[in-house]
Amino acid sequence: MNSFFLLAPALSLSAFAFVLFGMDTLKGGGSRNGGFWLTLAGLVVTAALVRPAGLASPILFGRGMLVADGLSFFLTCITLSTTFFVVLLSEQDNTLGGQPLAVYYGLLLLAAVGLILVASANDFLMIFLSIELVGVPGFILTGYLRHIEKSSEGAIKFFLLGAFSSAMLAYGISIFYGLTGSTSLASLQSGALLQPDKAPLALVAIFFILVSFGFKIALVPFHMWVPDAFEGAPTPVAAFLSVAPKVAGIAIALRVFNFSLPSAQLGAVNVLVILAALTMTVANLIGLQQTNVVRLLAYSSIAHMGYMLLGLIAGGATGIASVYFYGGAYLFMNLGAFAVVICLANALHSNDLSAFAGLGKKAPLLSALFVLFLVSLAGVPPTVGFVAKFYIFWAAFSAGWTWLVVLAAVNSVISVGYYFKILRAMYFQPPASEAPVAMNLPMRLTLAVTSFVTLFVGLFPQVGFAKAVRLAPRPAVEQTVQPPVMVVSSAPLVHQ
Amino acid sequence: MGVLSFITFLPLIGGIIILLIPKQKVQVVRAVAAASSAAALVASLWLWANFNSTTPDFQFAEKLNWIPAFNIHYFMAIDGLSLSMVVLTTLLTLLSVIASFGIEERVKEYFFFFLMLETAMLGVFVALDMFLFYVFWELTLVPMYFLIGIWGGPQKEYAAIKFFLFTLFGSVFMLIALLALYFNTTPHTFDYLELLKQTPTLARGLQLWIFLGLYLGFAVKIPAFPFHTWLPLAHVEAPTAVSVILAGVLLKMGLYGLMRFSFPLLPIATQRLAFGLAVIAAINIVYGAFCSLAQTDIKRMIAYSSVNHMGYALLGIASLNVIGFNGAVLQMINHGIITGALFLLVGVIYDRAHTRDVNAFGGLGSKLPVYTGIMTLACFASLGLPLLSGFVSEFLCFLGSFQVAAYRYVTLISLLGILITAAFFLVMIKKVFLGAFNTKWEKLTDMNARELIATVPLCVLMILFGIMPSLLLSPLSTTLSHLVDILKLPQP
Repeated sequence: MNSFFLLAPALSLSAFAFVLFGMDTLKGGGSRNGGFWLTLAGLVVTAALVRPAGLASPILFGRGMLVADGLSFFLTCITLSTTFFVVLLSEQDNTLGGQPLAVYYGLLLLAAVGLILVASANDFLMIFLSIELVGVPGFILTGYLRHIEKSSEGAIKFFLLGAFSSAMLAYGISIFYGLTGSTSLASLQSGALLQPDKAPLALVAIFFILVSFGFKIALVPFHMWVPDAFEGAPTPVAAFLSVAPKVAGIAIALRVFNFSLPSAQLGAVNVLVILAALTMTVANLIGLQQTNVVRLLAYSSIAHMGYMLLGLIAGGATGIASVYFYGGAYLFMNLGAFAVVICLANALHSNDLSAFAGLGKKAPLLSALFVLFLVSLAGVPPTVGFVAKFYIFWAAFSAGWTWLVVLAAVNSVISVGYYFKILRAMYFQPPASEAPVAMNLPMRLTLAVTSFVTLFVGLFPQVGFAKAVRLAPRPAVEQTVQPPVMVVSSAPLVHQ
Repeated sequence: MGVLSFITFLPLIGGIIILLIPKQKVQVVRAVAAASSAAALVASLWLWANFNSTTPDFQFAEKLNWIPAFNIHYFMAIDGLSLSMVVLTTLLTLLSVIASFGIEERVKEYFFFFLMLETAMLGVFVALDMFLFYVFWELTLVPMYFLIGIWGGPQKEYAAIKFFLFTLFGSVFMLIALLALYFNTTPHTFDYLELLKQTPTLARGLQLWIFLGLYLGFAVKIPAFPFHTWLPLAHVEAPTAVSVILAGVLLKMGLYGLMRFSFPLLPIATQRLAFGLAVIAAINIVYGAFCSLAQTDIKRMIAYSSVNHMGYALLGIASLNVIGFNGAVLQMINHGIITGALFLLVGVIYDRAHTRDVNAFGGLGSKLPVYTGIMTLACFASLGLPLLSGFVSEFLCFLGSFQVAAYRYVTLISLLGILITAAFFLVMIKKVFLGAFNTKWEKLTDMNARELIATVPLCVLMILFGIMPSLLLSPLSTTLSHLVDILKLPQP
């Protein structure tokens, strides 16, 4: 297969992004609708270009820098659907009103390109570059509300910590290159790192890489930027940041620590176990204190990364499948929750919990949907959140991590404490304001799809399990022969 | 679709229809709620009529593939034990729905949650795949949370979340225990009948751990000491009809779980831990009774009496013999009927007087003769007066546990509970109904027709089951003897 075909989604999205960048200059700012439709068109065209995964064996392309397999296919789908919903949500959000939106959409698409490349990266350099491609549009989008101080504050924090973690990543990669003479993930598997003379330094490299991923996917104790960035960013951007980059980070961690690195070696699993336990517990405990709904969802998203790590730790085909399933489930329930928040916050002009009081009476349908999403996030049946958690627990339990499962289970009880704070405000308290709550068509569409999936897959999980299991077989990267050292050459890019 | 699915989901369908009715048509909403719960009752009585009580086998089975990836089935079937619980549930729900006609606030949502709760409870009692069981078990939480939290009393928010967190905390451990059961079978399964073939022979240590995990889930619901603290709060804050369901049905789910799953699946652990259960039962009985004695709020008193009465039932099942089991199940049903009636009756007086303080009343006997008569009857049934239903079941529970030599002292201490129970009910009757009439209550009216419709059937059952307990025991006894036999089998 020609590697241009495999690159087509990324190329097409980039092309649309650049057209969008041009639009604002051409039409002078008043092109909100045009940009919106063009972005949706771009996403649909790109989705049509995505090739189903090469399931039998992964396909390497782009000089072995990129790989097409179940993981990359899964993540491309996650990225495209997240972006699609976020674009729909942006249309309703009124904090974005008056901003040049074509650029905003262009940046979203560019971040999506980064995510697609992250998902297919098979080389540390590629990982670094594509993470930056996610990060830079991410900073800009977070600070997109220039006139609001919190937005800039969030962007600065995000930027500084992002830069810091990128530096760590680069440092880890450089040590790794020094040890193996290659930046390819394939060389991780060779076992060269495990020789006694190299192992200590390899540990340092792994440590730096792990810490950097920790920042990107916001594991405790590297999570501090998340609540501020989420609170300051336009809420649709927070929704975007709460799903796609984190799922992508988990995927990279899967590729590096699960597919490539022999997992039991070099103690990477132990570090992940500690990070998972810390992340779940700390995020949930801090979540209990929050009174701003977006911050609350920020801590919730951190905690969910902790649960997802369980699947990563469990490893094997089931562990990977459970991560996939969880990622997909999390996409729908979390975007649904954010959609409701955007809709309500538009009417109420506040994300504070007290503003949500009495909504059960005033906006019964939206409140009912919010109940569904929050119950799902809390992991209570009959929702997709419960099934996903069950799957993760199941995988971790079968891999022998009983105590971690117990901790995660207790954590999901704690999380009910803050999710239900929202329910309490909505249903048990008298209305705080009389502002009417309106939904436009894209919002209705988003809510319909997310709530349908949340409930339907919760009742009939086989649909999702089958997909996750099919994509999950452990990609055998080592089967394909790789040039051990990266060489700069002008040979055609086509490999396969 | 089989008859069990039909009964289980009938209320939910009614609830969804209610959501489609315009808000203003309150009467229609009430009619639909009553009709769907009545239909469920009729269907469950049909089930009883067609139930073959000569065999301990499961009947009316339905089995569909649900999640093949995990070998999870949609598996429902009933035996005598489930049947009695199903009928109890449908009966109490119908009466509670009738008693809820007085609710004026957010009527639609109220009845939707109520019917959803009925579906979840019925599901718990008919599910035989443990995953399905767990889903229904958890499904009871959300409607109950809203029912307490929206329509409850002054401390409703705290009561609702405390109820939710306690139960969820217990049930996540139950989930982990279920996973442990699952992974110790080949092929991995949640199917109760398959588990029954394999898990009784598991190693003792493993059985103990799994038992403890399941027990945490069930104990919160029973509620067994020291996990009972959510109960008085939830009962006091919940609206009348919800208290009826809470006491009448939800508490039974805990004991049902122990009898249905913990004991037969883990006989070695059961034999080992039965004495501990008996001790907890004794604490429940004595401590619950003393707590009741100390209350001045009538509803709180009855709530603590539930702790005490569930103690009798727990003592009965901890004795692991046929008499004890029969007594326990009878006690579960009788407690549902009697305490259901008591909560309805407390609701009657609270609706009129807006207080439940025993000391606020006095001499109501002459003013409200019908109410006094019914209330006194229910209290006597609850404290175990012979010829009323409570006596038979308590007697059987004690008889069962007294037969176990090791339980002698525990049983003797528990007997104290009967005395104290009698004391607090009689004190309450004296203070509220006897003595000088408190003229503050000149304007009180006696029970109206709706209230009588909700309570009289329960009173009739109290007398009926008191005189002829065999009506209840005959469909149960085969099943219960079988459950005891499973426990006795020497394990290879």
